[in-house]
Amino acid sequence: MRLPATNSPIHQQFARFPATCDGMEKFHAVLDHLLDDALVEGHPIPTSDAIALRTAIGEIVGNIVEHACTGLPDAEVSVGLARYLDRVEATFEDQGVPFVKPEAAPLDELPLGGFGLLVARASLDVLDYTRVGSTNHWLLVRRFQGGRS
Amino acid sequence: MEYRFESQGKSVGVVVLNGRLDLLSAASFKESIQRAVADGWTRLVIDLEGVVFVDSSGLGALIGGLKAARVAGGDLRIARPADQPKYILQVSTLDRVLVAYPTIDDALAGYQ
Repeated sequence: MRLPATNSPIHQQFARFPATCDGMEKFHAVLDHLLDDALVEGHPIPTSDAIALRTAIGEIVGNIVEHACTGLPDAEVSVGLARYLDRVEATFEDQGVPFVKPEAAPLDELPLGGFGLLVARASLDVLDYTRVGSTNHWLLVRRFQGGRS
Repeated sequence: MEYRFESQGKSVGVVVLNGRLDLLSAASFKESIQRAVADGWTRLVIDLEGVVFVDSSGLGALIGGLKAARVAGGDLRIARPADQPKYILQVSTLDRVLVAYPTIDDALAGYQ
């Protein structure tokens, strides 16, 4: 699902990285660049939005590496990152196993996992997953709220 | 992720973390905490001042440490979280069980 474009991106970048822990390190460097205030002079991303984006994107990338592509040594993740005046859109594609929504345990049982999707959803305006053929597609959008966090 | 352990007296310790507590580092951090608890350090403070990023794997490691400490009759507290760790604790609602203290001394109060 694509949102109707309300304006053109002021910065876009595309990357592929291995769906491994080393690949995640490389991806964090790409993300640091996208969120860097100096990237688009005069249009800094509000701090609370940058924190939410970094958190949500980290969860989805971690999910792909940990769950979708485990046991697939040559798996790669394709990433598209687009920065607009009012939002960031991120797309991810991988050929790992289909995503299955995890069951969330009650908080008072002190669950050891299952927080990732909850955190990503709460940090984004759009979190969309589709499986087309053998490819997983993720779309993440956060509109800048400034003070929201 | 780097971490070091500082003893603060009988069964009390501070674990100082630096870097990212994420998918890459969570398992080894959780193992270290569980080993410390098994060795008798059951009342722990995790200093997050130097941690720039925590993901859900890192949260799971902290919860795992909290569980291990409580089973041993102790507790695990976190101190000085920076903005992103504070955010993920709030948005996951885990700040209800992992209370963040503003200073190490505040977190240690009641332990000694």
